[in-house]
Amino acid sequence: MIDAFLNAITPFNIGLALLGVFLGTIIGALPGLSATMAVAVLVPFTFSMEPASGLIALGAVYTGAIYGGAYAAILVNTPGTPAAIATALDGYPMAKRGDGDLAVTISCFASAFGGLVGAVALLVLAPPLAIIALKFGPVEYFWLAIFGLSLIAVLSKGATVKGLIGGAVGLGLSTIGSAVIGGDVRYTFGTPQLLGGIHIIPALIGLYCVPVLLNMVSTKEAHIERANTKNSSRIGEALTSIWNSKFNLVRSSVIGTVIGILPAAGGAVAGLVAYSEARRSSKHKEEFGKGAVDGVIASESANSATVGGGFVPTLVLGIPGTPPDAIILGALMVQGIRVGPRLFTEQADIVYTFIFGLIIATLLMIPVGLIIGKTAFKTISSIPKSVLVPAIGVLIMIGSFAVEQNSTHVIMMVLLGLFAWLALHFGFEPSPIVLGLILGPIAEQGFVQGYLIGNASGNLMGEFFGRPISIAIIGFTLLTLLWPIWSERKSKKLKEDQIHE
Amino acid sequence: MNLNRRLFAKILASASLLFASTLVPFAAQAADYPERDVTYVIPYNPGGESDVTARMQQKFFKELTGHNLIILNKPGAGGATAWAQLNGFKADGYTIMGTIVPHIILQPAMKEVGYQTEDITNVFFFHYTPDAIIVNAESEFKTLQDLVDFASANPGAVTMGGSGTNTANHLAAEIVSGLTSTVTTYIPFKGSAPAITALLGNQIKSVMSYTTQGVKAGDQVRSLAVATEKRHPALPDVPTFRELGINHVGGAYRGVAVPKGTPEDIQLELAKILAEINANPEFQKLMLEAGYSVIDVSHEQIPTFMGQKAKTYAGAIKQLKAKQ
Amino acid sequence: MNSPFQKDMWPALILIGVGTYGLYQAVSMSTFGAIFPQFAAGGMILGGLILVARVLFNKLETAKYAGELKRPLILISILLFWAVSFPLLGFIISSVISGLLAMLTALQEKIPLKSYAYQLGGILALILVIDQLFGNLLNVPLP
Repeated sequence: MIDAFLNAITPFNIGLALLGVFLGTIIGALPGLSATMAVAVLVPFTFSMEPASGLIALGAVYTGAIYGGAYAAILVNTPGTPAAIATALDGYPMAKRGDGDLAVTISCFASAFGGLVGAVALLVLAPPLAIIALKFGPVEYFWLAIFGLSLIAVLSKGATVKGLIGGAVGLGLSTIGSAVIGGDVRYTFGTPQLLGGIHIIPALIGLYCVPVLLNMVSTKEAHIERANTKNSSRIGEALTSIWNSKFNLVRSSVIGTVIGILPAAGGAVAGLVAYSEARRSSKHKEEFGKGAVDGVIASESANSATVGGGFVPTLVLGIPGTPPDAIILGALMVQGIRVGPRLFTEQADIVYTFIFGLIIATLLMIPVGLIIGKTAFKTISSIPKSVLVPAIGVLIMIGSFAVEQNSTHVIMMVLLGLFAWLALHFGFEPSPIVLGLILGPIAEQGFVQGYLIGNASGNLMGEFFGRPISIAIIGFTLLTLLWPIWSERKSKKLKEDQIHE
Repeated sequence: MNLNRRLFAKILASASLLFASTLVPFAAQAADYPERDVTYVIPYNPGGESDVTARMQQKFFKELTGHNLIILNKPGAGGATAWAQLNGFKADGYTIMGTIVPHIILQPAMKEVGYQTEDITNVFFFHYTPDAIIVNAESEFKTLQDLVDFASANPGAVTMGGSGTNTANHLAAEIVSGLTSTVTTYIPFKGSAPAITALLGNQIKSVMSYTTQGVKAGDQVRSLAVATEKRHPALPDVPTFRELGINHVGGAYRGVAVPKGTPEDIQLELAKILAEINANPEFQKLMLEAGYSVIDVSHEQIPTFMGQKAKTYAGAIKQLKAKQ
Repeated sequence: MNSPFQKDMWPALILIGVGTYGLYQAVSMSTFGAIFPQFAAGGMILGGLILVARVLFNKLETAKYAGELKRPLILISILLFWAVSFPLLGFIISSVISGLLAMLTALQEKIPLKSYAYQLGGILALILVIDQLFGNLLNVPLP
């Protein structure tokens, strides 16, 4: 292990990590350009490098991009990458009231912490974690998806019906295309373009960024408050907030790591889950959505933790933990790296060098992030809308196209954006739709596969309800759903008792 | 009249010279192909079998022609997105696309995918990944016969995972079930990797996949049979289906296609280059070690090849359609 | 009972409509393939019905929409045009046209000619940079 560490701190690799984080942050920060796209586009460069160096470069870009997404989320309300969705929920209100620089600095530290937790988990716990991941069969994924969907109800307190409708719409949208199970071609109106269904990245870009653009041109006022020219980037203030919220920070990082380990979930889900958990256990629930620091901390630490966590199933099982991992996995295969548990024994030097490189990249994020953060805030708040709008327009066009070089995706993105803008007018938030879109396929595949397997062994009920992990997940779901009701009742009762006294 | 004859002869001579000179650039064209880099569109993401083998070809292509083979990944709908766009590219031989049989036969037969099998102009098939039935190394099934016996005694109880519905894996599972007169429950997964993972986690009893997956998973799995004529060098202990009395040889055949209308001589030249790469012992070694089986289906053999394959799949396709 | 002509009635009706279409299509699907579409469609219909009930029976609350509608509608048409012309006209041309139009849409006040030129220049520069970056450096073929 020591030589792996030494390998990781060679000037070349450190240089790669620095460059990677820098590039990644900038790409992630630009609305419309997602982490997935950043990794996808930079992969060909790594083919000429040594496997470990290539991995470090990709990991650094990935880390930077996930973090960079916070900038666009906070400053422009257009999550730069899906993982930053939950960050925008409170980050943007913070920016509107002039605390944008604080939000940016907080995300920097929160992301670094989360990323470290994820990377350390990868380093120390990868093989055993992978074995646990193996125990997750189709049924477990189904219940996990149900849990994720139940978050919709929690997140949209106050507009629960509309939130659930959004979820149903998202679920419906996820069925478009040719199904993995059953092979039906659903809702494509006979067009081959829709065969692949709605791709998640253009969908997210459209659902979140386009309404913001449209809203920008509807009012005259400036986009966000100009920074009051303070010198410090409010580091001290940021650190204090984080310390006050340390439990939240740790919990969110763990949530992020765990969700990252489960294949196919990714930063967006992690951010939203951590955010809702933070809100649920917060003593100031009402602040969430209006600029609660805790929300930003939760979301950013969780989504950065998915970077490290996501590599666990990717490296050990060959199943991508998050969408960018899918691309990195491909790059690894091309380099001839045999993923699997034996990777940690046979090609251990490559893996450990990479993990150390990842840790270094995460640490490098702090200085890079702070510097970019200061300039980003100043620049974005001083760019007039008339330049901002077309610029973001260009970026979202490219961002949707470049993921799979498919121009149909671009049209999809705009149409979904129009839909989201109209929906917002009627009180429908995009987050439930997004959750439905992401979790729909997971739930469906899990359900049908589980059904088929259970049927084959003649034990359908046992298959769905008898497995230990499933039971735990179901229990947790019920807890999440019923807790708010129960605690409200409890506090109401307390209030009544007090009044009666 | 002498003048007329001489004039006529002159005209004839110059006409033939003119005609011959136009032929020269054509001949020269084919002989010079490729004159610049060629774009190789792969209908799948990096890391998959189509992509990895294409990258193996890259190196040798550069050696042979001095020009680069630039790989462009255009995934979507199991390959259909790219195949539907094939004929939209310029037919000058500088854009080529990977193809797979049975996919290009199966997909249009099962549903509306935006192209027909005849729309794909195949130039050369250079390898195939033989089907293989794989079980967990700790599984109760030590031989294929064990699996078949269990399946006969318990119809439907054997879960066999594979990549997707109405795909090569699904087709192979149907074919083998038919040949052994057993009923297995096919469980579709989103790709080979999730299926293998489910196998490793003991969620399912077996997997219908390819030799390459068996090689990749190593000691954690046991391959029960491979669909080749002779045992595969990368899996020497695994019997072939034929040895066990099941006449199934096949898998996913991968090749290269060009847009409709590409000049015939360019197609032949391309086929020649691909065949030369195939003949290279270094290339063969790379492929065999990973579990691929190198074969040559040359340009002339393609129509017969496609016809044969379509006939082989016809029965299973009917079965699959009936189940829809 | 409130009058049925409320703002919320629209989404309710659309939901019921889309949900019904979804169910109708699901009839022609295989057993397994139909489960989730039916579920989602059913959810939409149910949600739509609940919304209708709410509109008719609940206390009315009107949410005000701040800002004009004209410009956003113009912008979304520009974006649509941009997306459609993207493969047809190529990245640079479609982006220059659309970018210019977008800029004009976003311009709320008259600005001096010099700033006008600067802003235009900035956008054009961005387009060129991205084109070069993606086309040459990153090997991503833009139309």
